[in-house]
Amino acid sequence: MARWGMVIDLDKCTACGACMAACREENNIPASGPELAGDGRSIFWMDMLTITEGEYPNIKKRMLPRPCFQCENPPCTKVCPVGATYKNEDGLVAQIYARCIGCRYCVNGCPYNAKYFNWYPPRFRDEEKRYLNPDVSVRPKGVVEKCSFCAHRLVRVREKAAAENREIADGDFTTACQDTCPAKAIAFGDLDNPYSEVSRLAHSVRAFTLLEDLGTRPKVFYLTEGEKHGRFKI
Amino acid sequence: MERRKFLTTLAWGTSALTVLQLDRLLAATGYHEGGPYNGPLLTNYVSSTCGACPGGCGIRVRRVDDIPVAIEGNPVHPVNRGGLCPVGVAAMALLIHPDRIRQPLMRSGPRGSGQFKPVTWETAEQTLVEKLAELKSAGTPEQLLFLNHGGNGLGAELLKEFMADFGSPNLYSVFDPSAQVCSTVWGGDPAGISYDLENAHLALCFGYPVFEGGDNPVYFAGLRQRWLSVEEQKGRLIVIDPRLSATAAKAERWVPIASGTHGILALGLAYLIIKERLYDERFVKESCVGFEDETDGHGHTTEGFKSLVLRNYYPAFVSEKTGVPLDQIISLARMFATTSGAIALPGAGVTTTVDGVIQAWAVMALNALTGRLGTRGGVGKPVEYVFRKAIHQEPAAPPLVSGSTQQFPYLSGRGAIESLPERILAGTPYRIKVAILNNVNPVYDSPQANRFRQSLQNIPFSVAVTCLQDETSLLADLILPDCTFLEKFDLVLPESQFAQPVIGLTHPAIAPLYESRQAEDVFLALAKRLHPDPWQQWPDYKSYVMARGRELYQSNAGALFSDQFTVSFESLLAERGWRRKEYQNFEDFWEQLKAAGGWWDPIRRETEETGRVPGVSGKFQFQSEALSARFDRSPERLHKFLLSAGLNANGSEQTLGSARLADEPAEPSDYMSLHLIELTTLRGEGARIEKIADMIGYYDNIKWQCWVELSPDTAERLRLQPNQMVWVESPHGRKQLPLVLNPGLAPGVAAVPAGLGRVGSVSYGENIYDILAPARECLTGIPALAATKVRVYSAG
Repeated sequence: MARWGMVIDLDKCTACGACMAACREENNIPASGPELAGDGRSIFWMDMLTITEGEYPNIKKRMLPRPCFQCENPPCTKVCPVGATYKNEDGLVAQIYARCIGCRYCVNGCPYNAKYFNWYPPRFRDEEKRYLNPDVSVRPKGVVEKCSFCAHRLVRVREKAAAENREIADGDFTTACQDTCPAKAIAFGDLDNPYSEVSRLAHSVRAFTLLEDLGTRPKVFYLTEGEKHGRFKI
Repeated sequence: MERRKFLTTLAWGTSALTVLQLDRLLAATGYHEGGPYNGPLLTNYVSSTCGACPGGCGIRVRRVDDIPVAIEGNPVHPVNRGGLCPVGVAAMALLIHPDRIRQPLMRSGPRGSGQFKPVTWETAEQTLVEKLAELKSAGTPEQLLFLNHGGNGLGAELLKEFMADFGSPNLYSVFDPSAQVCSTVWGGDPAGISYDLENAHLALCFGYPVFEGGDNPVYFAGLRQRWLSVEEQKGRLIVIDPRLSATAAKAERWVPIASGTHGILALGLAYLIIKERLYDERFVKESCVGFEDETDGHGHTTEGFKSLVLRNYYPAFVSEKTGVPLDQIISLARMFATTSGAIALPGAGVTTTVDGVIQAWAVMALNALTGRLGTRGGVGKPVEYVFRKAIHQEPAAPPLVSGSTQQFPYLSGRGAIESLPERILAGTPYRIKVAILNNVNPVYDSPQANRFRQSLQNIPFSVAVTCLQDETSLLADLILPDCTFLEKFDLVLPESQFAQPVIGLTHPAIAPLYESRQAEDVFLALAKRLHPDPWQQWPDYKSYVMARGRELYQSNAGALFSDQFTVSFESLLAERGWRRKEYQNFEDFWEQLKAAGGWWDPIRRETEETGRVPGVSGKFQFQSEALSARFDRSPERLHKFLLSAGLNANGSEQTLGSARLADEPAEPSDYMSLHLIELTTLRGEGARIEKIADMIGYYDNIKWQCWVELSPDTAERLRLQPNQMVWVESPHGRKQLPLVLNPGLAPGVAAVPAGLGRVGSVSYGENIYDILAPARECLTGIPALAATKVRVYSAG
């Protein structure tokens, strides 16, 4: 069984935000509008974390695109009282929207702030609904949602591979953020396949995960900036 | 239970459910309501070109049952190779934008009131034809003014033909101001230059956040990925900018610099390159003029670039002016001169200053000094396209704004447009009776928006062709609904500075929505009704485009977009004089073009002779011949001109493009430079897309608002707290904005994003253009957006 994981190369990433926009288009996430955005109710399955270090002019700004880390040991599933969020057979941390009671324990349980609660019904105009992605259901008010690693694509990929009587190959299953990234900074695939790009990168000396000490064992790795490649001293 | 009772209960139950509409109850859970379209779900893709900005990225529109549901990057398009920017990805929203013009609208209230009544296309066209026919029969066709957008489609060619046929010289297009300034450096060659970045090893970006602003951030992101993907990092990026933008943060080095001093730093680097004899002596001798001092027949000596730079731009002076430490200047100069394939690129931070051309010239001089002109991985001539034709037809009257005026020696493009209001309002040399504005919005994005507003009100009949309702169209008498790029058919020449010829196909992914029509089709219909003969051959714009496509096929050059392997294979064949025959006839060619998304010529550059220096004369001029000739080779006259433009310097230095500005006139100490922030989310109509508004300042978590950035030190000095509301005031107005502290901003600079505060349903933030000084670049007349000084104080 494949162990789906992602590697984000922070050297290649230009922090353009295309992954954030592509994710919202793919997964039918509505715009929140000025009022809800002001209340912090915007939903970004893929968000951008910014860390600024140092003082002018010796200053470093680090920007990390942040999807759901699909932890091996997810804290969110452990606190769900109804089993609405769980680790599915693909190893992905999945959400069953119909089962969610909106208690938001998992939102608080996630140390990466990757889970979002729908405080309001989805804000789509009638006209817009026609142009939504038919592969992804629109979430109602009162449930928690988060990055799914574009699991709806996996369904199609699996069907196709089965029809062609073969295993899923590296590169068959891609995520929307990966496809759109202009710098090809995002690699995605099976971490257990020693020949996949993602497992090669995840084993590189540059790879790290966020908040490793919590023991969540995220399946999203970052590659550090400016270490492998010979950089100029500032 | 009895059978009768059971049936009765069942009947009552069914009717009760029908009455209560259980399906509605189910829908209330949200699964059905607002659910996506439910059909057979057959997916197909249409290859096209993104029109959200003029960058020209290739897209593939994913369609489910022929309804477009997603915009994805075209993986074989050489410009973006599958990548897209956030605005391109979210551009589907433009299709059904609430502000989209849905049918032709005729003004029904007073001008600017925003009162319009819908009319039919027949009425709209008839009205316009009558107005134009009137001009023509009166023998004054020059009274038609046409403002065209900066897109690179074939529509621009069509309009040139249309205006020449109509007899009006007043066609003005909004070019990219940076490209325009750079072309001025090359003696006014309108075609400009190209950068061979694919083979470059160092890009020194002066005021150019390449991952966010400029020509095409998606291309630069891909370029950097290709630079990084080889074991030994192939290329490096250095950004010189007052603000730590995302580009600066991601570059190998960020050099913070005082606002508006890029030219001085460039000359400081030139000083060291000359002093340490790191320049390409042979190249400078053979392919440049004006480097050494020259004495003419009368014993009059003109000081050359070398002596001038050595006399003035010693490192200590440059360091003091720019705020860049000495050791950094030295290491930059050495690195630039000794890295093969290093290019210096001037961006908007350089070109949109009052002395934009002069500063850009200083930056270009670095490329010339080190012999990076016309070489592999250097600055080259612009690419030529088979079907870019020059149209020679002597118009009856001179244009309203000619290419060169007393005030601005190199007036064209955006600069010329900025000069229009003055002429229109004065009615000299003649009055404008009809204006057609094709997807331009000067009433929003010009620092002299008010004058544009007045002049539009001064024109008896104005037509706005636009997709979304905007500030300019609100003042028009007639609004014609244009299509979005998802509904258009065109061939597009992307990226003016891309080193290879690339032609992308724009193919409709959906039939035009509402009553919109493609603008080019409307102009063609108009041309036919006014003067049938030359236009009868084109039944519609598609046939016009196809004819140009046929020329492309007949040129028998280049190849369709294909994967990297095929490109390498074809290049290999081409080097040996072979060619793979991909298509048998034009129809075959066109079908394959439709699938691939476009055509390009990857081989061309590799096989051609290098050593082609751009520009009209074929030599780089350290000293501008044209400019010098314009002022009768008199440094005094030039000096006077520059003084009148607000620059204080010695004339001869200015001619050389080496602005050594005297100290700026003493401003009140609390005034600081206004820096306009460039962001990927602000490209094109990005700010008007709701989903983009949600992430407008995404890496500082700013949503649905405009903001002003100050460095923490500056804020402390001004006694301002983060997130408080402050006034940003220039001599031309003030705006209230929330304050964001940015530790990566040079002290004494206020940074504000431009492009917010729009009309319509997605309206938020403030329009910063309103308070910009109406200053203009002193040679080309383009708006000097970086020239404004503001002060910031508490609004509470």
